[in-house]
Amino acid sequence: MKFIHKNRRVISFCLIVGFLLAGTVTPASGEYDPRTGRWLQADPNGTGILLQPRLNYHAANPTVTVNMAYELQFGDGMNFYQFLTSNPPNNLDPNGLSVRAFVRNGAWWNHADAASEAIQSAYDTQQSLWQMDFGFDDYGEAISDILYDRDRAVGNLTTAYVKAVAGGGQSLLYALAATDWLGFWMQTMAPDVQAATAFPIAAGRSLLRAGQSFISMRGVRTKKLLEAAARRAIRKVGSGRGPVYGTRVHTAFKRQVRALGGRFKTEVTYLGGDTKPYGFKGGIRVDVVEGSVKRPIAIYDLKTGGAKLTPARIRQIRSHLPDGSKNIPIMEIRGDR
Amino acid sequence: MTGKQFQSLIRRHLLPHFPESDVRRGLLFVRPLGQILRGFCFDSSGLDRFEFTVEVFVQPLFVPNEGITFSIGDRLGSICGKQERWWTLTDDNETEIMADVLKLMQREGPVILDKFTTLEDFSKNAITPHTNPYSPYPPEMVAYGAVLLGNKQLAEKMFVRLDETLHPEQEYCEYHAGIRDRAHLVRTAFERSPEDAVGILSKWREETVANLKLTKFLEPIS
Repeated sequence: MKFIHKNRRVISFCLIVGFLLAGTVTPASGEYDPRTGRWLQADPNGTGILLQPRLNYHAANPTVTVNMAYELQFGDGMNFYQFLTSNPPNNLDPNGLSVRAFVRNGAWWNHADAASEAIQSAYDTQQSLWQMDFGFDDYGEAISDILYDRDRAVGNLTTAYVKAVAGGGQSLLYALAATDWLGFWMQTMAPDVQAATAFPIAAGRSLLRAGQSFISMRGVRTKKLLEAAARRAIRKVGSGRGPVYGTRVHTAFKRQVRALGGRFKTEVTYLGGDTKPYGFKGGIRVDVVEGSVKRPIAIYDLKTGGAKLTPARIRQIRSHLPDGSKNIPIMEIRGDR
Repeated sequence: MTGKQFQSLIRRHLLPHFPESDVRRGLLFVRPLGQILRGFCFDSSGLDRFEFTVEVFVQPLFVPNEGITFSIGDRLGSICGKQERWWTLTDDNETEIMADVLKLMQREGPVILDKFTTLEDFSKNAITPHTNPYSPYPPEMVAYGAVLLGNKQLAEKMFVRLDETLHPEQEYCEYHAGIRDRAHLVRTAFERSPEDAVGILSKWREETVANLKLTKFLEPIS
Protein backbone atom coordinates (compact mmCIF):
# COMPACT_ATOMS: atom_id res chain seq x y z
CA MET A 1 0.00 0.00 0.00
CA LYS A 2 2.88 2.26 0.89
CA PHE A 3 4.47 1.58 -2.47
CA ILE A 4 1.20 2.44 -4.25
CA HIS A 5 0.78 5.59 -2.26
CA LYS A 6 4.36 6.70 -2.90
CA ASN A 7 4.16 6.04 -6.60
CA ARG A 8 0.62 7.16 -7.01
CA ARG A 9 1.32 9.65 -9.77
CA VAL A 10 3.45 7.23 -11.79
CA ILE A 11 0.82 4.52 -11.44
CA SER A 12 -1.90 6.96 -12.43
CA PHE A 13 -0.01 7.95 -15.51
CA CYS A 14 0.66 4.32 -16.47
CA LEU A 15 -3.01 3.51 -16.01
CA ILE A 16 -4.05 6.37 -18.22
CA VAL A 17 -1.51 5.53 -20.89
CA GLY A 18 -2.59 1.91 -20.63
CA PHE A 19 -6.15 2.91 -21.29
CA LEU A 20 -5.07 5.00 -24.19
CA LEU A 21 -2.96 2.29 -25.74
CA ALA A 22 -5.79 -0.14 -25.35
CA GLY A 23 -7.93 2.29 -27.33
CA THR A 24 -10.81 1.63 -25.03
CA VAL A 25 -11.30 0.70 -21.44
CA THR A 26 -13.57 -2.18 -22.30
CA PRO A 27 -12.28 -5.02 -20.20
CA ALA A 28 -14.20 -7.76 -21.96
CA SER A 29 -12.54 -7.91 -25.34
CA GLY A 30 -14.67 -8.52 -28.38
CA GLU A 31 -17.62 -6.46 -27.19
CA TYR A 32 -16.53 -3.16 -28.58
CA ASP A 33 -14.73 -2.31 -31.77
CA PRO A 34 -12.60 0.82 -31.29
CA ARG A 35 -12.16 1.26 -35.04
CA THR A 36 -15.84 1.66 -35.76
CA GLY A 37 -16.77 3.03 -32.35
CA ARG A 38 -19.61 0.54 -32.08
CA TRP A 39 -20.54 -2.48 -29.99
CA LEU A 40 -20.07 -5.73 -31.81
CA GLN A 41 -23.02 -7.33 -30.16
CA ALA A 42 -26.25 -5.99 -28.84
CA ASP A 43 -26.03 -5.10 -25.21
CA PRO A 44 -28.20 -7.69 -23.48
CA ASN A 45 -29.54 -5.12 -21.09
CA GLY A 46 -30.21 -2.48 -23.66
CA THR A 47 -27.73 0.02 -22.38
CA GLY A 48 -24.01 0.30 -22.05
CA ILE A 49 -21.53 2.96 -21.12
CA LEU A 50 -18.37 3.50 -23.06
CA LEU A 51 -15.45 5.46 -21.81
CA GLN A 52 -13.09 6.87 -24.39
CA PRO A 53 -10.03 8.60 -23.03
CA ARG A 54 -8.28 11.22 -25.12
CA LEU A 55 -4.92 12.65 -24.17
CA ASN A 56 -4.03 16.31 -24.51
CA TYR A 57 -0.57 17.54 -23.73
CA HIS A 58 -0.28 21.24 -22.94
CA ALA A 59 3.24 22.26 -23.83
CA ALA A 60 2.97 25.80 -22.51
CA ASN A 61 1.88 24.62 -19.11
CA PRO A 62 3.33 21.12 -18.97
CA THR A 63 0.35 19.06 -17.97
CA VAL A 64 -1.44 16.13 -19.41
CA THR A 65 -5.18 16.33 -19.60
CA VAL A 66 -7.27 13.28 -20.18
CA ASN A 67 -10.62 13.92 -21.73
CA MET A 68 -13.03 11.18 -20.88
CA ALA A 69 -15.84 11.03 -23.35
CA TYR A 70 -18.78 9.06 -22.12
CA GLU A 71 -21.15 7.64 -24.59
CA LEU A 72 -24.34 5.78 -24.03
CA GLN A 73 -24.78 2.85 -26.33
CA PHE A 74 -28.32 1.69 -26.86
CA GLY A 75 -28.05 -1.85 -28.13
CA ASP A 76 -31.77 -2.54 -27.95
CA GLY A 77 -33.18 0.95 -28.09
CA MET A 78 -34.01 3.43 -25.40
CA ASN A 79 -36.86 1.55 -23.79
CA PHE A 80 -36.48 1.99 -20.07
CA TYR A 81 -38.66 -1.02 -19.33
CA GLN A 82 -36.07 -3.02 -21.11
CA PHE A 83 -33.61 -1.41 -18.81
CA LEU A 84 -35.59 -2.90 -15.98
CA THR A 85 -35.14 -6.24 -17.71
CA SER A 86 -38.52 -6.00 -19.42
CA ASN A 87 -40.10 -6.97 -16.16
CA PRO A 88 -41.09 -3.83 -14.30
CA PRO A 89 -43.44 -5.54 -11.82
CA ASN A 90 -40.65 -7.72 -10.45
CA ASN A 91 -37.72 -5.39 -10.92
CA LEU A 92 -38.89 -2.16 -9.47
CA ASP A 93 -36.38 0.60 -9.27
CA PRO A 94 -38.36 3.27 -7.51
CA ASN A 95 -35.51 5.69 -7.03
CA GLY A 96 -33.75 5.01 -10.30
CA LEU A 97 -30.59 4.10 -8.48
CA SER A 98 -30.89 0.42 -7.89
CA VAL A 99 -27.43 -1.08 -8.04
CA ARG A 100 -29.03 -4.37 -9.01
CA ALA A 101 -30.27 -2.78 -12.18
CA PHE A 102 -26.86 -1.46 -12.99
CA VAL A 103 -24.90 -4.59 -12.29
CA ARG A 104 -27.16 -7.03 -14.09
CA ASN A 105 -24.97 -6.71 -17.11
CA GLY A 106 -21.47 -7.63 -16.08
CA ALA A 107 -19.79 -5.65 -18.81
CA TRP A 108 -21.73 -2.61 -17.78
CA TRP A 109 -20.39 -2.76 -14.28
CA ASN A 110 -16.87 -3.36 -15.47
CA HIS A 111 -17.07 -0.22 -17.52
CA ALA A 112 -18.21 1.61 -14.46
CA ASP A 113 -15.32 0.20 -12.45
CA ALA A 114 -12.89 1.19 -15.11
CA ALA A 115 -14.38 4.65 -15.26
CA SER A 116 -14.15 5.01 -11.53
CA GLU A 117 -10.55 3.88 -11.46
CA ALA A 118 -9.63 6.25 -14.23
CA ILE A 119 -11.37 9.10 -12.52
CA GLN A 120 -9.73 8.41 -9.20
CA SER A 121 -6.29 7.96 -10.68
CA ALA A 122 -6.59 11.26 -12.50
CA TYR A 123 -6.78 13.18 -9.27
CA ASP A 124 -3.47 14.64 -8.29
CA THR A 125 -3.34 14.77 -4.52
CA GLN A 126 -0.10 16.68 -4.37
CA GLN A 127 -1.41 19.58 -6.38
CA SER A 128 -5.04 19.07 -5.34
CA LEU A 129 -5.96 19.23 -8.96
CA TRP A 130 -7.97 17.08 -11.26
CA GLN A 131 -5.79 16.26 -14.20
CA MET A 132 -8.84 15.23 -16.08
CA ASP A 133 -11.20 17.50 -17.88
CA PHE A 134 -14.62 15.92 -17.93
CA GLY A 135 -16.75 16.40 -20.98
CA PHE A 136 -19.23 18.72 -19.39
CA ASP A 137 -21.01 19.38 -22.62
CA ASP A 138 -21.79 15.71 -22.90
CA TYR A 139 -22.82 15.54 -19.28
CA GLY A 140 -24.91 18.61 -19.77
CA GLU A 141 -26.66 17.00 -22.68
CA ALA A 142 -27.33 13.87 -20.71
CA ILE A 143 -28.73 15.55 -17.67
CA SER A 144 -30.58 18.16 -19.62
CA ASP A 145 -32.51 15.48 -21.40
CA ILE A 146 -33.93 14.55 -18.05
CA LEU A 147 -34.41 18.07 -16.90
CA TYR A 148 -36.04 19.25 -20.05
CA ASP A 149 -39.41 17.60 -19.52
CA ARG A 150 -39.28 17.62 -15.76
CA ASP A 151 -38.25 21.20 -15.66
CA ARG A 152 -41.27 22.25 -17.57
CA ALA A 153 -43.52 20.17 -15.39
CA VAL A 154 -42.22 21.36 -12.05
CA GLY A 155 -40.70 24.66 -12.94
CA ASN A 156 -37.35 24.60 -11.24
CA LEU A 157 -34.09 22.89 -11.56
CA THR A 158 -33.68 21.65 -8.01
CA THR A 159 -36.97 19.88 -7.93
CA ALA A 160 -36.37 18.75 -11.45
CA TYR A 161 -33.27 16.93 -10.36
CA VAL A 162 -34.99 15.24 -7.48
CA LYS A 163 -37.78 14.23 -9.81
CA ALA A 164 -35.29 12.90 -12.28
CA VAL A 165 -33.76 10.71 -9.64
CA ALA A 166 -37.12 9.65 -8.35
CA GLY A 167 -38.43 9.02 -11.83
CA GLY A 168 -36.69 5.70 -12.07
CA GLY A 169 -35.13 3.83 -14.90
CA GLN A 170 -32.47 6.37 -15.72
CA SER A 171 -28.99 5.15 -16.31
CA LEU A 172 -26.00 5.36 -14.05
CA LEU A 173 -24.48 7.83 -16.46
CA TYR A 174 -27.38 10.13 -15.79
CA ALA A 175 -26.93 9.69 -12.07
CA LEU A 176 -23.27 10.55 -12.32
CA ALA A 177 -24.04 13.47 -14.56
CA ALA A 178 -26.51 14.71 -12.03
CA THR A 179 -24.19 14.42 -9.09
CA ASP A 180 -21.31 15.85 -11.04
CA TRP A 181 -23.27 18.75 -12.35
CA LEU A 182 -24.94 19.51 -9.11
CA GLY A 183 -21.58 19.36 -7.41
CA PHE A 184 -21.33 22.99 -8.29
CA TRP A 185 -24.48 23.68 -6.46
CA MET A 186 -23.44 22.19 -3.20
CA GLN A 187 -21.82 25.27 -1.86
CA THR A 188 -24.39 27.82 -2.71
CA MET A 189 -27.62 26.14 -3.58
CA ALA A 190 -30.57 24.50 -1.96
CA PRO A 191 -30.03 21.99 0.85
CA ASP A 192 -32.55 19.56 -0.67
CA VAL A 193 -30.13 19.08 -3.52
CA GLN A 194 -27.48 18.07 -1.04
CA ALA A 195 -29.87 15.60 0.51
CA ALA A 196 -30.82 14.27 -2.88
CA THR A 197 -27.23 13.80 -3.97
CA ALA A 198 -26.34 12.01 -0.77
CA PHE A 199 -28.44 9.05 -1.75
CA PRO A 200 -26.90 8.26 -5.12
CA ILE A 201 -23.49 8.56 -3.56
CA ALA A 202 -24.36 5.85 -1.08
CA ALA A 203 -26.15 3.70 -3.62
CA GLY A 204 -23.99 3.83 -6.67
CA ARG A 205 -20.81 2.31 -5.21
CA SER A 206 -17.80 2.53 -7.40
CA LEU A 207 -18.71 5.09 -10.02
CA LEU A 208 -20.72 7.20 -7.69
CA ARG A 209 -17.87 7.21 -5.21
CA ALA A 210 -16.06 9.13 -7.88
CA GLY A 211 -19.14 11.30 -8.11
CA GLN A 212 -18.85 11.94 -4.39
CA SER A 213 -15.27 13.09 -4.80
CA PHE A 214 -16.52 15.26 -7.56
CA ILE A 215 -19.16 16.85 -5.39
CA SER A 216 -16.81 17.60 -2.58
CA MET A 217 -13.88 18.62 -4.70
CA ARG A 218 -14.98 20.01 -7.98
CA GLY A 219 -16.99 23.11 -7.07
CA VAL A 220 -14.63 24.01 -4.26
CA ARG A 221 -11.61 23.41 -6.42
CA THR A 222 -12.78 25.60 -9.30
CA LYS A 223 -13.48 28.50 -7.00
CA LYS A 224 -10.16 28.01 -5.22
CA LEU A 225 -8.37 27.79 -8.54
CA LEU A 226 -9.83 31.13 -9.62
CA GLU A 227 -9.18 32.72 -6.23
CA ALA A 228 -5.55 31.65 -6.55
CA ALA A 229 -5.51 33.26 -10.00
CA ALA A 230 -6.97 36.43 -8.49
CA ARG A 231 -4.30 36.45 -5.77
CA ARG A 232 -1.58 36.07 -8.37
CA ALA A 233 -3.13 38.94 -10.35
CA ILE A 234 -3.15 41.17 -7.28
CA ARG A 235 0.47 40.27 -6.49
CA LYS A 236 1.40 41.24 -10.05
CA VAL A 237 -0.45 44.55 -9.97
CA GLY A 238 0.54 45.48 -6.43
CA SER A 239 -1.60 47.22 -3.89
CA GLY A 240 -3.96 50.04 -4.68
CA ARG A 241 -7.55 51.14 -4.73
CA GLY A 242 -10.15 52.76 -6.94
CA PRO A 243 -11.56 51.93 -10.36
CA VAL A 244 -8.26 52.16 -12.26
CA TYR A 245 -6.67 49.70 -9.85
CA GLY A 246 -9.74 47.45 -10.22
CA THR A 247 -9.39 47.43 -13.99
CA ARG A 248 -5.71 46.57 -13.75
CA VAL A 249 -6.45 43.68 -11.41
CA HIS A 250 -9.21 42.46 -13.74
CA THR A 251 -6.84 42.58 -16.71
CA ALA A 252 -4.15 40.63 -14.86
CA PHE A 253 -6.78 38.19 -13.56
CA LYS A 254 -8.09 37.59 -17.05
CA ARG A 255 -4.62 36.62 -18.23
CA GLN A 256 -4.17 34.28 -15.29
CA VAL A 257 -7.50 32.63 -16.05
CA ARG A 258 -6.60 32.14 -19.69
CA ALA A 259 -3.45 30.36 -18.64
CA LEU A 260 -5.64 27.82 -16.83
CA GLY A 261 -6.89 26.38 -20.10
CA GLY A 262 -9.80 26.12 -22.45
CA ARG A 263 -12.53 25.35 -19.98
CA PHE A 264 -12.73 29.01 -19.00
CA LYS A 265 -13.79 31.83 -21.30
CA THR A 266 -13.22 35.43 -20.32
CA GLU A 267 -15.13 38.64 -20.98
CA VAL A 268 -18.32 37.28 -22.48
CA THR A 269 -21.28 39.54 -23.25
CA TYR A 270 -24.77 38.12 -22.94
CA LEU A 271 -28.08 39.63 -23.92
CA GLY A 272 -31.40 37.83 -23.95
CA GLY A 273 -29.83 34.40 -23.85
CA ASP A 274 -27.42 35.05 -26.70
CA THR A 275 -23.79 36.13 -26.98
CA LYS A 276 -22.96 39.56 -28.38
CA PRO A 277 -19.90 41.68 -29.04
CA TYR A 278 -18.49 43.97 -26.36
CA GLY A 279 -20.45 47.16 -25.85
CA PHE A 280 -23.73 45.83 -27.20
CA LYS A 281 -26.49 48.04 -25.83
CA GLY A 282 -28.17 46.41 -22.84
CA GLY A 283 -25.75 43.48 -22.74
CA ILE A 284 -23.99 42.30 -19.59
CA ARG A 285 -20.32 41.40 -19.60
CA VAL A 286 -19.22 38.64 -17.23
CA ASP A 287 -15.61 38.06 -16.20
CA VAL A 288 -15.29 34.29 -16.43
CA VAL A 289 -17.55 31.66 -17.96
CA GLU A 290 -16.94 28.01 -17.26
CA GLY A 291 -17.92 25.59 -20.01
CA SER A 292 -19.26 26.53 -23.39
CA VAL A 293 -20.38 30.15 -23.76
CA LYS A 294 -23.56 28.91 -25.40
CA ARG A 295 -24.26 26.62 -22.47
CA PRO A 296 -22.22 27.74 -19.45
CA ILE A 297 -22.07 25.68 -16.27
CA ALA A 298 -20.88 28.44 -13.92
CA ILE A 299 -20.15 32.16 -13.95
CA TYR A 300 -17.44 33.80 -11.86
CA ASP A 301 -17.27 37.51 -11.20
CA LEU A 302 -14.08 39.06 -9.81
CA LYS A 303 -14.57 41.72 -7.18
CA THR A 304 -11.99 43.99 -5.66
CA GLY A 305 -12.03 46.48 -2.81
CA GLY A 306 -15.47 47.10 -1.37
CA ALA A 307 -17.34 45.89 -4.46
CA LYS A 308 -19.67 42.93 -4.01
CA LEU A 309 -21.65 40.61 -6.19
CA THR A 310 -25.10 41.76 -5.18
CA PRO A 311 -28.33 39.77 -5.52
CA ALA A 312 -29.54 42.39 -8.01
CA ARG A 313 -26.47 41.85 -10.17
CA ILE A 314 -26.94 38.07 -9.96
CA ARG A 315 -30.54 38.45 -11.10
CA GLN A 316 -29.43 40.70 -13.93
CA ILE A 317 -26.83 38.17 -15.09
CA ARG A 318 -29.32 35.31 -14.87
CA SER A 319 -31.86 37.17 -16.96
CA HIS A 320 -29.42 37.27 -19.88
CA LEU A 321 -27.78 33.86 -19.61
CA PRO A 322 -28.53 31.29 -22.30
CA ASP A 323 -31.65 29.21 -21.83
CA GLY A 324 -30.90 26.00 -20.00
CA SER A 325 -28.24 27.78 -17.94
CA LYS A 326 -30.41 30.23 -16.04
CA ASN A 327 -29.89 28.49 -12.70
CA ILE A 328 -26.17 27.86 -12.83
CA PRO A 329 -24.04 29.10 -9.93
CA ILE A 330 -22.85 32.68 -10.18
CA MET A 331 -19.95 33.12 -7.79
CA GLU A 332 -17.93 36.01 -6.53
CA ILE A 333 -14.17 35.64 -6.74
CA ARG A 334 -11.90 37.65 -4.49
CA GLY A 335 -8.17 37.60 -4.31
CA ASP A 336 -7.73 40.14 -1.57
CA ARG A 337 -9.13 38.25 1.41
CA MET B 1 -9.85 49.40 -29.76
CA THR B 2 -12.37 51.37 -31.76
CA GLY B 3 -14.24 50.20 -34.83
CA LYS B 4 -12.23 52.55 -37.01
CA GLN B 5 -8.94 51.21 -35.71
CA PHE B 6 -10.11 47.67 -36.41
CA GLN B 7 -11.25 48.69 -39.89
CA SER B 8 -7.87 50.17 -40.68
CA LEU B 9 -6.07 47.07 -39.40
CA ILE B 10 -8.33 44.72 -41.34
CA ARG B 11 -7.92 46.73 -44.56
CA ARG B 12 -4.15 46.75 -44.31
CA HIS B 13 -3.47 43.21 -43.16
CA LEU B 14 -6.43 40.96 -43.83
CA LEU B 15 -8.69 42.13 -46.63
CA PRO B 16 -6.20 41.28 -49.42
CA HIS B 17 -6.35 37.67 -48.23
CA PHE B 18 -10.15 37.56 -48.37
CA PRO B 19 -10.96 38.78 -51.89
CA GLU B 20 -14.69 38.07 -51.69
CA SER B 21 -15.10 40.01 -48.51
CA ASP B 22 -15.66 43.52 -47.33
CA VAL B 23 -15.10 45.39 -44.13
CA ARG B 24 -17.10 47.72 -41.96
CA ARG B 25 -15.62 48.76 -38.64
CA GLY B 26 -14.58 45.58 -36.83
CA LEU B 27 -16.58 43.35 -39.13
CA LEU B 28 -15.01 41.43 -41.99
CA PHE B 29 -17.82 39.75 -43.90
CA VAL B 30 -18.27 37.60 -46.96
CA ARG B 31 -19.95 39.12 -50.01
CA PRO B 32 -22.46 39.00 -51.59
CA LEU B 33 -24.58 39.92 -48.61
CA GLY B 34 -27.79 37.98 -49.16
CA GLN B 35 -29.87 36.30 -46.50
CA ILE B 36 -26.95 35.32 -44.29
CA LEU B 37 -24.17 37.41 -42.83
CA ARG B 38 -20.99 35.34 -42.52
CA GLY B 39 -17.72 36.67 -41.30
CA PHE B 40 -15.37 37.65 -38.52
CA CYS B 41 -16.12 40.16 -35.80
CA PHE B 42 -13.21 41.83 -34.03
CA ASP B 43 -14.29 42.15 -30.44
CA SER B 44 -12.43 44.50 -28.15
CA SER B 45 -11.65 43.83 -24.51
CA GLY B 46 -13.49 45.98 -22.02
CA LEU B 47 -10.42 46.09 -19.79
CA ASP B 48 -7.43 46.71 -22.01
CA ARG B 49 -8.13 48.84 -25.06
CA PHE B 50 -5.36 47.25 -27.11
CA GLU B 51 -6.56 43.73 -26.49
CA PHE B 52 -9.01 41.94 -28.75
CA THR B 53 -10.41 38.60 -29.79
CA VAL B 54 -12.01 37.52 -33.05
CA GLU B 55 -15.34 35.77 -33.35
CA VAL B 56 -16.20 33.69 -36.40
CA PHE B 57 -19.94 33.85 -36.79
CA VAL B 58 -22.94 33.37 -39.00
CA GLN B 59 -26.06 35.50 -38.60
CA PRO B 60 -29.29 35.08 -40.52
CA LEU B 61 -30.34 38.58 -41.51
CA PHE B 62 -34.04 37.69 -41.73
CA VAL B 63 -34.21 37.33 -37.94
CA PRO B 64 -34.78 40.80 -36.47
CA ASN B 65 -31.77 42.00 -34.54
CA GLU B 66 -30.42 45.24 -33.18
CA GLY B 67 -26.87 44.34 -34.10
CA ILE B 68 -24.39 41.53 -34.44
CA THR B 69 -25.25 38.33 -32.64
CA PHE B 70 -23.14 35.23 -32.15
CA SER B 71 -25.82 32.56 -32.00
CA ILE B 72 -23.75 30.51 -34.41
CA GLY B 73 -19.99 30.68 -34.13
CA ASP B 74 -17.18 30.88 -31.66
CA ARG B 75 -14.01 32.74 -30.85
CA LEU B 76 -10.87 31.96 -32.81
CA GLY B 77 -8.82 29.43 -30.96
CA SER B 78 -11.76 27.67 -29.38
CA ILE B 79 -13.28 26.41 -32.62
CA CYS B 80 -10.83 23.53 -32.74
CA GLY B 81 -11.41 22.79 -29.08
CA LYS B 82 -8.56 24.79 -27.63
CA GLN B 83 -8.29 27.97 -25.60
CA GLU B 84 -9.85 31.08 -27.10
CA ARG B 85 -7.25 33.55 -28.34
CA TRP B 86 -6.81 37.17 -27.35
CA TRP B 87 -4.17 39.43 -28.82
CA THR B 88 -2.64 42.63 -27.45
CA LEU B 89 -1.38 45.17 -29.95
CA THR B 90 1.65 47.27 -29.15
CA ASP B 91 3.52 49.81 -31.25
CA ASP B 92 5.91 47.25 -32.67
CA ASN B 93 3.99 43.99 -32.97
CA GLU B 94 1.18 44.87 -35.38
CA THR B 95 2.47 42.86 -38.37
CA GLU B 96 3.29 39.86 -36.26
CA ILE B 97 -0.05 39.90 -34.45
CA MET B 98 -2.12 40.34 -37.60
CA ALA B 99 -0.20 37.51 -39.31
CA ASP B 100 -1.11 35.29 -36.38
CA VAL B 101 -4.74 36.39 -36.56
CA LEU B 102 -4.79 35.72 -40.30
CA LYS B 103 -3.38 32.25 -39.83
CA LEU B 104 -6.09 31.35 -37.34
CA MET B 105 -8.81 32.96 -39.47
CA GLN B 106 -7.77 30.87 -42.44
CA ARG B 107 -7.55 27.72 -40.38
CA GLU B 108 -10.67 28.00 -38.23
CA GLY B 109 -12.91 30.33 -40.23
CA PRO B 110 -13.94 27.80 -42.87
CA VAL B 111 -14.96 25.32 -40.16
CA ILE B 112 -17.93 27.57 -39.43
CA LEU B 113 -18.34 29.69 -42.55
CA ASP B 114 -18.30 26.94 -45.16
CA LYS B 115 -21.19 25.19 -43.47
CA PHE B 116 -23.55 28.09 -44.09
CA THR B 117 -23.14 29.24 -47.65
CA THR B 118 -26.80 28.82 -48.70
CA LEU B 119 -30.20 28.79 -47.02
CA GLU B 120 -30.35 25.03 -47.56
CA ASP B 121 -27.02 24.68 -45.74
CA PHE B 122 -28.42 26.82 -43.02
CA SER B 123 -31.48 24.64 -42.53
CA LYS B 124 -29.26 21.59 -42.45
CA ASN B 125 -26.45 22.78 -40.20
CA ALA B 126 -27.87 25.36 -37.80
CA ILE B 127 -29.05 22.67 -35.41
CA THR B 128 -26.53 20.02 -34.47
CA PRO B 129 -26.31 17.60 -31.54
CA HIS B 130 -24.19 20.24 -29.79
CA THR B 131 -26.77 23.00 -30.17
CA ASN B 132 -28.25 24.15 -26.90
CA PRO B 133 -31.64 22.38 -26.92
CA TYR B 134 -33.19 25.02 -24.67
CA SER B 135 -32.29 28.01 -26.79
CA PRO B 136 -35.14 29.37 -28.90
CA TYR B 137 -32.78 31.01 -31.38
CA PRO B 138 -31.68 28.00 -33.48
CA PRO B 139 -35.22 26.70 -34.14
CA GLU B 140 -36.38 30.24 -34.86
CA MET B 141 -33.68 30.76 -37.46
CA VAL B 142 -34.26 27.40 -39.11
CA ALA B 143 -38.03 27.92 -39.11
CA TYR B 144 -37.72 31.26 -40.92
CA GLY B 145 -35.11 29.79 -43.27
CA ALA B 146 -37.55 26.99 -44.10
CA VAL B 147 -40.28 29.55 -44.74
CA LEU B 148 -38.01 31.31 -47.24
CA LEU B 149 -37.29 27.99 -48.90
CA GLY B 150 -40.99 27.15 -48.95
CA ASN B 151 -40.33 23.98 -46.96
CA LYS B 152 -43.61 23.64 -45.07
CA GLN B 153 -42.73 20.42 -43.30
CA LEU B 154 -39.47 21.71 -41.86
CA ALA B 155 -40.98 25.09 -41.01
CA GLU B 156 -43.82 23.46 -39.07
CA LYS B 157 -41.43 21.14 -37.26
CA MET B 158 -39.25 24.05 -36.25
CA PHE B 159 -42.18 26.23 -35.16
CA VAL B 160 -43.33 23.39 -32.90
CA ARG B 161 -39.82 23.01 -31.51
CA LEU B 162 -39.58 26.75 -31.01
CA ASP B 163 -42.87 26.73 -29.10
CA GLU B 164 -41.47 24.07 -26.80
CA THR B 165 -38.47 26.21 -25.92
CA LEU B 166 -40.47 29.34 -25.12
CA HIS B 167 -41.56 30.07 -21.56
CA PRO B 168 -42.20 33.81 -21.44
CA GLU B 169 -44.02 33.46 -18.13
CA GLN B 170 -40.95 32.10 -16.37
CA GLU B 171 -38.55 34.26 -14.43
CA TYR B 172 -35.55 35.42 -16.49
CA CYS B 173 -37.29 34.45 -19.74
CA GLU B 174 -39.21 37.64 -20.44
CA TYR B 175 -37.53 38.08 -23.81
CA HIS B 176 -39.24 34.90 -24.98
CA ALA B 177 -42.47 36.89 -25.41
CA GLY B 178 -40.98 38.93 -28.26
CA ILE B 179 -39.68 35.80 -29.99
CA ARG B 180 -43.07 34.10 -29.58
CA ASP B 181 -44.93 37.08 -31.05
CA ARG B 182 -42.77 37.41 -34.12
CA ALA B 183 -42.74 33.64 -34.72
CA HIS B 184 -46.54 33.66 -34.46
CA LEU B 185 -46.67 36.45 -37.02
CA VAL B 186 -44.56 34.54 -39.54
CA ARG B 187 -46.28 31.24 -38.87
CA THR B 188 -49.79 32.55 -39.39
CA ALA B 189 -48.70 34.49 -42.46
CA PHE B 190 -47.07 31.37 -43.86
CA GLU B 191 -50.24 29.36 -43.32
CA ARG B 192 -52.28 32.06 -45.01
CA SER B 193 -49.94 32.77 -47.90
CA PRO B 194 -46.23 31.93 -48.18
CA GLU B 195 -45.63 35.19 -50.05
CA ASP B 196 -46.86 37.17 -47.06
CA ALA B 197 -44.43 35.37 -44.77
CA VAL B 198 -41.55 35.94 -47.19
CA GLY B 199 -42.55 39.62 -47.31
CA ILE B 200 -42.32 39.90 -43.51
CA LEU B 201 -38.93 38.22 -43.49
CA SER B 202 -37.66 40.47 -46.29
CA LYS B 203 -38.71 43.51 -44.30
CA TRP B 204 -36.95 42.20 -41.20
CA ARG B 205 -33.85 41.51 -43.28
CA GLU B 206 -33.73 45.10 -44.41
CA GLU B 207 -34.23 46.33 -40.85
CA THR B 208 -31.46 44.11 -39.49
CA VAL B 209 -29.10 45.19 -42.25
CA ALA B 210 -29.93 48.83 -41.49
CA ASN B 211 -29.24 48.21 -37.77
CA LEU B 212 -25.89 46.71 -38.73
CA LYS B 213 -25.28 49.73 -40.98
CA LEU B 214 -24.59 47.44 -43.92
CA THR B 215 -27.37 48.67 -46.24
CA LYS B 216 -24.96 49.78 -48.96
CA PHE B 217 -23.58 46.25 -49.17
CA LEU B 218 -26.96 44.57 -49.45
CA GLU B 219 -27.52 42.54 -52.60
CA PRO B 220 -30.99 41.93 -54.06
CA ILE B 221 -32.38 38.44 -53.51
CA SER B 222 -33.11 36.62 -56.74
